[in-house]
Amino acid sequence: MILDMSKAPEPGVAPTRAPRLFVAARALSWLSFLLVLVLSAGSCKKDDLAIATANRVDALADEIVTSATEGEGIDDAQLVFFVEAPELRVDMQELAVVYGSQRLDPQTAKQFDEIRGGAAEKVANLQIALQAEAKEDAAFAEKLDKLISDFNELAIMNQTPAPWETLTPWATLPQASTFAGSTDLLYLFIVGLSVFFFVLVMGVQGWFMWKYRRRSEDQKTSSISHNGKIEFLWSAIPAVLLVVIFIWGEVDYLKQTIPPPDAIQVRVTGRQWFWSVDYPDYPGVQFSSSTEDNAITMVVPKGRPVQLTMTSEDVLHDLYIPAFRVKRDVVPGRYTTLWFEASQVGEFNLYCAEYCGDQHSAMIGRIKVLEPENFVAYLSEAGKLKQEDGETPAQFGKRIYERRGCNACHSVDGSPKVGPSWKGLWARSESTDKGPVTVDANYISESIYEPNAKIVSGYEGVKMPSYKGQLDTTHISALIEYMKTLK
Amino acid sequence: MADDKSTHDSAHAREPSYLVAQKGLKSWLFTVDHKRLGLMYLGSTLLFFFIAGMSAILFRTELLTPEGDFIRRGLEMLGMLDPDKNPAIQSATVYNKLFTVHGAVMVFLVIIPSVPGALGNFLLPLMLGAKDVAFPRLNLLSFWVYTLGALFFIYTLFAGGLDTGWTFYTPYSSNFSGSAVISATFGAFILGFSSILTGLNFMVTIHKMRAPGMTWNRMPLFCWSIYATAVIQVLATPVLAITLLLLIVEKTLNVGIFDPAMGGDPVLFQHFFWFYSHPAVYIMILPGFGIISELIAVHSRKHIFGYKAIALSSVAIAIISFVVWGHHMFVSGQSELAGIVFSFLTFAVAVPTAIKVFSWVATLYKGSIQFNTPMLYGLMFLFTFSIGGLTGVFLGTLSVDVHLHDTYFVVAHFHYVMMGGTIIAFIGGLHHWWSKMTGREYNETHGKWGALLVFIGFNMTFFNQFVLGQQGMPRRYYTYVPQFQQQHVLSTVGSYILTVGLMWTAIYLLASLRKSAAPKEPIPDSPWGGASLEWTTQTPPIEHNFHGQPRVDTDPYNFPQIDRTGEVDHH
Repeated sequence: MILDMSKAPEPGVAPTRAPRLFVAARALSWLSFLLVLVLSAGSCKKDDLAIATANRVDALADEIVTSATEGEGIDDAQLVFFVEAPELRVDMQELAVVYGSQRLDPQTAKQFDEIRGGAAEKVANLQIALQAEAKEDAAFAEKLDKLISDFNELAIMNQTPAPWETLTPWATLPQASTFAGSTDLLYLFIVGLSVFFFVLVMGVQGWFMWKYRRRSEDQKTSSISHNGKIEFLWSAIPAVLLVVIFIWGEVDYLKQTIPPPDAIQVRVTGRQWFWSVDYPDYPGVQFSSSTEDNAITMVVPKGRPVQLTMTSEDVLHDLYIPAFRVKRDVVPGRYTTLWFEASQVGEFNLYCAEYCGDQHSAMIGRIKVLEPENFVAYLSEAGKLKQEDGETPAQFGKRIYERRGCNACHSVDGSPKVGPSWKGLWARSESTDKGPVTVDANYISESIYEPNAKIVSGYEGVKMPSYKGQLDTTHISALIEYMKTLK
Repeated sequence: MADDKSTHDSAHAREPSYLVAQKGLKSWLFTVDHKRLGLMYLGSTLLFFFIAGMSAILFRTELLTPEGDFIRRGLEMLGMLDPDKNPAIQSATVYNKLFTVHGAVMVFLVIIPSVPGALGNFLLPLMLGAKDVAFPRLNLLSFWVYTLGALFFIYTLFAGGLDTGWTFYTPYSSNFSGSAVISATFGAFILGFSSILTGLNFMVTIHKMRAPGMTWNRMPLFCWSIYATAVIQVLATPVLAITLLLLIVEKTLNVGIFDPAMGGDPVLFQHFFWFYSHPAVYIMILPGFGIISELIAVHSRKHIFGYKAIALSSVAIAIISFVVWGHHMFVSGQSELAGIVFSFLTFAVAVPTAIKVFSWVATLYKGSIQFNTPMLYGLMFLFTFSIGGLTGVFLGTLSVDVHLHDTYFVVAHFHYVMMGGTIIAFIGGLHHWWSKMTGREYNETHGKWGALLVFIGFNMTFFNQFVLGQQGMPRRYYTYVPQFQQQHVLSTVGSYILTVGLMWTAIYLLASLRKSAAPKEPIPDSPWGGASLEWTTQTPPIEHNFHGQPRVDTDPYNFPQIDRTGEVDHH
């Protein structure tokens, strides 16, 4: 039907490029078909292989330990490893991909981790068992270190998914809230419709391109210029489908905007460039993200609705938790709300999605979802900023520095950040816009509560938010103790 | 079949073209000839296209790795790092400035003026059978206002750059950014006037200067799309001007308008900004639609399918575009009701857009399709713009947008529309009318290779960004989670291929302008067999476009190859 051979090019007329284009289009569709095949093959369950391979790794660990401690020593152990490892590595690599995209049965994944973790530990323990020999012989120590690290690399193989894995939509993004399922379903519905219409339109285009390619200069063309019936159809059918999509999206969206009355209340404050989170029902509990690492920024229970009330101290931010499929701007001078119900225990990334300046991309945190029974316990343990038994005031101050986001703008090693470094700050004379000051307890306390009262020269453009109501005097004295240690 | 031989200029002896009719630099700088102004717009938009493209290549290279390293090392090598400040923050600022330059220059200095300024200026009077636009001096003023605005942007680059993103969102822009916000906003403010004046000029030209016999329904579709564009330019651009002025007032006089610290409202800024900038999206894409209508019809020698539907859908899009701005703000904190209304209206734009694509494909039916460079770009447009349009449906859908908003999905979507739509159409149009504009011919084989490279490079750069966004990669990120690296590498490699394709295109087009490349025989008036009026005049046209007043008794898609035998006259 597609190849109209009866209208082959007339002799003497240069062949056009259309056929080649057509062949290319066909090759492309075959390629995508193959890609789908590879993807489906790659997604087969690998649970049995995982356990078997982990056991083989464990057996290898035993063999290495035996050779190293009882047999011919470290060289023999190394030989055992070199003989056995390559084959195992192939399987482990394959598993790393499956594991990385969370396609192992959770129970299997746990067992897999336990066995291979145990194996790595067995080998690592050689360090202690052979301590005496390693101390005497540097070459021996080096060999031992190498063996342990090689084995570790094999057993705890990195879990980066393969390229085609990351190219598969949904492969790495968990559905961790009750909204995720329906958002994804609608997304896939639109993907399906789009692919259908795109293939249809491009197929028709490709067919026309082939069939009506110019064969001769005086080739006649049709006088068709319109057709009311078909024009009505191709306006009406998309219109109806679009209304369906609109209503579906609107219904889901409304669900996201009306929080249940029994939701756990969480307050979120966005600042350049960290989040701080506290819980009105659990006074004293506070978490902060940090530009330095992916700290736990929010803790919520699984299966309970949580409502966030958010505001910003400076510029626009936007709280985005991809695994939950939720996002909302955080606006200075306004409160915006967001609610969700986490449906999967674990840790998920939390981003700032509204451009907010220099360190926008470092405004990342982690949200931790716990079983409801562990939630309160975790909050009171981890959330509260209280000096612990056996903790010196300076150590406590360091903890406050890290947990309250001070580290977003102040370094402790003298390197410049948005604000002045704390290294050597204590008792130093600083010139400010209100004249020189000596950095003492009063100045520090004032700078934390009313940051813009006296601004250190060179930082005039920087607007530090006030910490009034967030840090009390015990916190501030601990911070001062910490500063004193930073000489 | 219409016989327009009577108006055919080839009956006359060849005269010097507009390019050589007057000589000297002054004859160019102060010309009121729409064709020369078109060429000058062409030169400047292409120059800015190059600048904005290069900044994109730099930040795409940075994104090869999750850490911030490329820019930092570059700054180190150039000795531009201030030792007293944190190097990571300094290089992050440079990254932010690069993507802002890319966005702001592409939008304000390239895409908005490209098709109307360059091709619109050159073609509109020719297509209408007029001697010039309605107000030639105003046209010259538009160009110089554009140049002044552009100078402000160039000044911004040298005065430390701009790091707010092209959207200038408050309060970051008004109170937190340490960069040259005022000069950049002032530049955009001035460019707005150029846009308004051009729009006004084109509207009057289309109303008053059409050749005798050229009814509204005998206008080439390019003119319809330019008309719809001009309406939006005149009505929407003043809002941007006022908004930017308010921003400058807030920043310089400390009057609280948008900054909550002074009692203002940052969401108000977004409403004002998108009230212009959403219609502006159609200022950018509608002229592209016009080009595609011409390319598809001429190179398949078929009467365009559904002329009225295409023409009126341009007008419908222009009207609806004014009431959909809120879809940029579904997660901004505007009311839920507003979100729902804007979502519904957004879907209303999808229908006329779909009608256009279907009509173009239907035009190919029973045509005589020639696969030369302009047509390859036309067909490429149908591919890339369809993807851009379909992915717009995802973003118009409320619940799905909540997840995709401000991620790479949005980046991919608007590049498929702006680059895959407008720029691809622009390049196609440039090839289509190249000989008419310059009197030169580019090498057809070189053109096809260029089109292939652009097609591969473009899709490789942007297609997987849909997946990136769906997996939760936010936009405007200097560093990112390592999980996304492979896709970023793919994108960056794609952007290199795209660059090679575009450079290649620039080179063979420029090469055709060399003295030694001058054609021995004059190029025919209508090398593709086009039937609209610009093809009836000499190539390149004489200074006054036509020898006499052309008359029109048929529509512009009445090609001699159309088989009228057996046609039932139902009029």
